[in-house]
Amino acid sequence: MTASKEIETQEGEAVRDIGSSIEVVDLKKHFTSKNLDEAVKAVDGLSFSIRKGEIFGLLGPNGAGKTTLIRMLVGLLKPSSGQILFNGEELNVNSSKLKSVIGYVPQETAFWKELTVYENLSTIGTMYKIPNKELKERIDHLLEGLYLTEHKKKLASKLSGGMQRRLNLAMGMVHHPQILLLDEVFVGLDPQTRNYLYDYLRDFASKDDKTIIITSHLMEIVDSLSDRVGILDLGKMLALDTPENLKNTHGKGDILLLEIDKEFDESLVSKIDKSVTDVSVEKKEQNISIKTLNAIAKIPEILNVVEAEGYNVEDVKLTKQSLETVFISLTGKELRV
Amino acid sequence: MDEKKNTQNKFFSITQNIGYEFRTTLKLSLKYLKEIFRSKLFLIIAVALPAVLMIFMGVIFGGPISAVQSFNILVINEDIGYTNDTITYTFGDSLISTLETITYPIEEGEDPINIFYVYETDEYNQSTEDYLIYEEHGLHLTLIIPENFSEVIFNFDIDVKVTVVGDPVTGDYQSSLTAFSSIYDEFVGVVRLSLGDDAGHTVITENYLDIVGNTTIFDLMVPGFVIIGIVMNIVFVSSILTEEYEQKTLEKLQLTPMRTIHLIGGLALAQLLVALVQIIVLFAISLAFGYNAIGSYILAGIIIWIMSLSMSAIGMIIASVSKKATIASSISSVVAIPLYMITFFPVWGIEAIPMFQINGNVFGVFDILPTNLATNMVNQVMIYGQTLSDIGFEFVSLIIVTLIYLTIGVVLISLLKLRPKKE
Repeated sequence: MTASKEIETQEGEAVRDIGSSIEVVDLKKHFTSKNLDEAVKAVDGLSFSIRKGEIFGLLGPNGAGKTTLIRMLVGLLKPSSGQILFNGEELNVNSSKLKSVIGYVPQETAFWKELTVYENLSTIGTMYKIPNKELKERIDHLLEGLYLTEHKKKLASKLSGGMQRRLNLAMGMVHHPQILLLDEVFVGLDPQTRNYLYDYLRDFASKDDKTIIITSHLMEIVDSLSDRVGILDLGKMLALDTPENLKNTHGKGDILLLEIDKEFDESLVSKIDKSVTDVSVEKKEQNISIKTLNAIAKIPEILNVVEAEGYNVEDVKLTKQSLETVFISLTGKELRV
Repeated sequence: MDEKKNTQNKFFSITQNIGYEFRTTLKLSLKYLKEIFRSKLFLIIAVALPAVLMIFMGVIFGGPISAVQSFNILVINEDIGYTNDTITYTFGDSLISTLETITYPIEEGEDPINIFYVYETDEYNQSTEDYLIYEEHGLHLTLIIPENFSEVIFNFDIDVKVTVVGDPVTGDYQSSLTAFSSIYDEFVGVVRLSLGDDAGHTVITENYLDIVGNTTIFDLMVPGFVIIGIVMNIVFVSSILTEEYEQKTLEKLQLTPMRTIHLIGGLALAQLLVALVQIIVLFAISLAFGYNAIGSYILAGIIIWIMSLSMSAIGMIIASVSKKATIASSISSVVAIPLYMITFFPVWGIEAIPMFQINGNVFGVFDILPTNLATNMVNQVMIYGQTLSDIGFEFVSLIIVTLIYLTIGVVLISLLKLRPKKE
């Protein structure tokens, strides 16, 4: 991804950057309820920008405000205050031009049950004013890519859950939007389709500076797909950076698990702790657990210390630090599906 | 040259935009049509149910009506009387007096009711048979007493003849004829006996009207059955729109450049096409079961077609306040009941309650319900053969009422369902 190289790594920087595809300025959404004394701040003064061609991951626990934010970005929900700019233009929910460049795939599958797969795509494509011939080509291409060609004449209600999710996805992409917002689209997809979608999105974003905003509970996908990731909780952006920087800044490091050939005592643990810099060592039954940043580089040094003490290492397991650990560290919660 | 090119481009762009507008509306219309016709519930409720009801009623009520208690008779008394031994007898007048004075009690203790109300006229010509005379006076039978009536009664060997005119298969005519025959037989018998003999017979010659249709209860019910099918479209329009909302497909449409006018236009167009199919199927069934229609099917169809638009509008109004399709269909069913019950008012003989008048044309309280206006108009057209000019006031009223319903429906659905949500 060449686009990722150009991305600013400092949170909140360049909100008014000319290269931004989407700019969010002090966006708020407060819900009031008769049962509550205070309004619920679903989105609480968010300001950030997303660049053209960028894949932007949005992580947050349930109720963090991800879906509320996305629904405001696509114009389905009216913000309480703040601004949303698309390519420098303020979001106008009635703008036909703007609607043509935005694609949204919601969390819930939404299609016409009594229409076939093809009819669903053809109907939505016509709404986007795509000429008939071109629409047919696009539909065929999407159906093939999403393994739906042989099901195109089936009523949508007769499709399996996975197929319905693929149809849902195709309906949000049939007009080749410049900006695509995907809310939990990987849920319920089989690995084959998930891989296809992964590649498709990478390819999609690389062409013509297309922008993707994606929310997902699947950390590894967000990690490997996103140029930048925003971590949202209680309506606020807790962190926004590239996945690597987030891990380096907020993560606790990788975990090395060494299996020792014979009984050992705390002296070995203390020796490693003193001999290798920036490590946190623990004895766990017949194993030694070492937590450190950039663990791979430190493996030779650690093995030397162990051997020098008269022990042999029978097995080494490396657990790389992940966005999940960053997420837990920032929000204090596990990401629930 | 550039100016010409610009004009051409502008023209091409406008043409292309108009094409897109139509294409969008037609595509949505096609979508709704597919959804409606693929719904088994639709086929059952909107076509099969009224068809079965119509067949059932056709078998039971296909016969003549006989629901009136008193009969209105138009009498043309041509009897010139007969003079015998310086006394002139006018038995024609005597027969009329008899008809006017015969009563019967409904229930014990109640005031007696006249069997006949007699209207007399001196002239007999074709116009007296005209529908309008029958309609204005609510006539059930016309009696023509010949000029030799009194003379023939004196001549015991000759049968006493009168002529009656009426619609042979209406219940009112048949009942009034039966009542008249027995009174006439008795009158002639009593008079002849008073003159000295009771020999001879009475003869009634029947002349049939061919202007008035052979109206049956079924005939009066047919518009109601066709309209029931159309009224059920409220359920489909409201359910489809609410389902769009509930299933979030409305959001999908909202995200596209499609506008409210396309959505409403597409749905209304689909509903019109569905209504057309319903009208054709249900009128065809009514014909097969002996619908005595003398008017224009096209005009009747147009009336019901226009009315169907107001059903779309009512469906939109219900959808705008419903969050679930099940709630929408429940509300629709409740709304539909009075709308189609009112279509049977002509059968039950319920009178209109005036709301206001324009140039002598009365707009009734129930006319705010399009089904009432449509039923009355279809009956006027199909049973009495009236034309568009005869029902002009009602026709314009239906269009205005439909436009009012449509405006309310479009405004409510736009405000409550097609704007970005606040919550």
